[in-house]
Amino acid sequence: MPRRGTASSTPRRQRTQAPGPPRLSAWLAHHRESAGTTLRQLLVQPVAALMTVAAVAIALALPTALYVLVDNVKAFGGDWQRSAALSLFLAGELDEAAGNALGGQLQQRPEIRSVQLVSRADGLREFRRDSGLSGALDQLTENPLPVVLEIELAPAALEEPALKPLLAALEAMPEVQFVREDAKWAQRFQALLGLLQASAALLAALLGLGALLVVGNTIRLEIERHREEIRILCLVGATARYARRPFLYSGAWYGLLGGSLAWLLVSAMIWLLDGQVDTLAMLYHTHFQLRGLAPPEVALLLAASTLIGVLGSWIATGRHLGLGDEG
Amino acid sequence: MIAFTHVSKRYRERGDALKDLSFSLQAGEMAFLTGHSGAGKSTLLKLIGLIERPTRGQVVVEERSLGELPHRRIPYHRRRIGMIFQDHRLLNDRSIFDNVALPLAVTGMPKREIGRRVRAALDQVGLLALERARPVALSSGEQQRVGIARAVVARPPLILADEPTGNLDPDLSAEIYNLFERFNEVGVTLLIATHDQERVAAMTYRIMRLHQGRLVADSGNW
Repeated sequence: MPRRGTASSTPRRQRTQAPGPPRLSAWLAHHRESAGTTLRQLLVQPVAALMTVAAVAIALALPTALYVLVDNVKAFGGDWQRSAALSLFLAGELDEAAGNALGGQLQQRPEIRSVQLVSRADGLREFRRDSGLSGALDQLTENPLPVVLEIELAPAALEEPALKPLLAALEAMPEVQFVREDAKWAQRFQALLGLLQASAALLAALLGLGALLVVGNTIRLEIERHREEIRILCLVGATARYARRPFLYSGAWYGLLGGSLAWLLVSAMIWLLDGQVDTLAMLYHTHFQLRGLAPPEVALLLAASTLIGVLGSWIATGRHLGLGDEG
Repeated sequence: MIAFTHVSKRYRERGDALKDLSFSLQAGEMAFLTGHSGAGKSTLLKLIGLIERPTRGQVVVEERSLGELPHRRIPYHRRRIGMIFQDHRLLNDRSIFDNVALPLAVTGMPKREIGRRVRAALDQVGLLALERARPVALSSGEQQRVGIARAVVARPPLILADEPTGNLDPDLSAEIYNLFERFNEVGVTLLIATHDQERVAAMTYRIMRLHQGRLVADSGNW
């Protein structure tokens, strides 16, 4: 081909470049190279790498599993919480009309989501059905039950500081004879959830620190293995950042792989338990599907684990790289 | 290029390595540093490369007063110096090409430019054909030439060599000294530490003799 011939016959001019500040593309290239090299190094010695990755994974899987547990209990309890309520037993002389009037009045309060009136007749019917005392009840000449208002509270009102004054206000009403606090257990449930959540956070902090130390120790050994290389790099004018970069990537890989394995472990756990949980739920005539980690939660787990890896490596390289001077 | 003023270096473990040393080396000069092992030759070179810092006195390289050079500037100082060691200091898990490329790679030079310069440097020391080999596959003399290629690849104005022919037979040594002379001809300043007194005496370059940390003879008289 004539065109190709002419093109190759003109000598291409070599561009010479003064050694100036590193160009962005070269900097990016070193990042790419560091990431690639360190990943290959992990894959070359999979057993040693797997030990560290597994340690990080287990450390992260524990708090993650606890988080998933709390999340599921919350979801499961959500149905009950909606029915969490107060029962107002009205004074005996009040009839349904008066109860309705009071109900309408209470409905105005922001803490109260809904009010449902249980008439005396309905109350008796329920009691007859649930108590098994229908024979004895037949003996009664009149209905002894009061009108009851079942009150559903807004979620915010379930918290202790909001609930107390509301209870006091309701009990102080002359029409109300007695307030039964169905919300009490819901409150305890909330407190328990809070405790579990706090434990998960504490465990996450503790085990996260553990994962950090594991990565840090692995990087320290890696530094020992590359001692000569680091020394030579420094002799030919590598900056501390340059010498440090591969180790930070190495740490990032340990973290990311550990986080991924933790996710896998938790997912496997959910998969294993899901059948059991549904069997249990079926005994209570309900359905329950265990919830796994949502994509944003997975992203958070992976980001956190990667950060732990980088941080662990940062600390190890800061302590053990011994940059700048040679002994 | 280099100026030492009343420089002393004392190691805690073995006492004084250099005592009140003053000399200067002009740009474009080639000089030998001789003396028995333990006379302070290596220490002197280390002070120039900022591998060590002097206990007393001042070292100036290319008008940079090293005592005032902040820690983070050390890498940039070393990029202006090519260092050659008796034990070569090559990375055995990397190819010859990658070893020679190191001083350029750390500066963030583009790959294409690195390739061009590394091949030029390897060509100068006659090892272009071996660029893909690992250092262990090379003879001692070849490894030393790789070390030299690495020292010159970034075209530093100053080259320091610490016993560069220490392990080599006379023919190979002659080859290495020829290389140094060629670099010197294009304006590179060289300071070469060696205990090979005979060979040095046969050449016409400046000779500085160290004895127990003191400069006892200097044919240059600067």
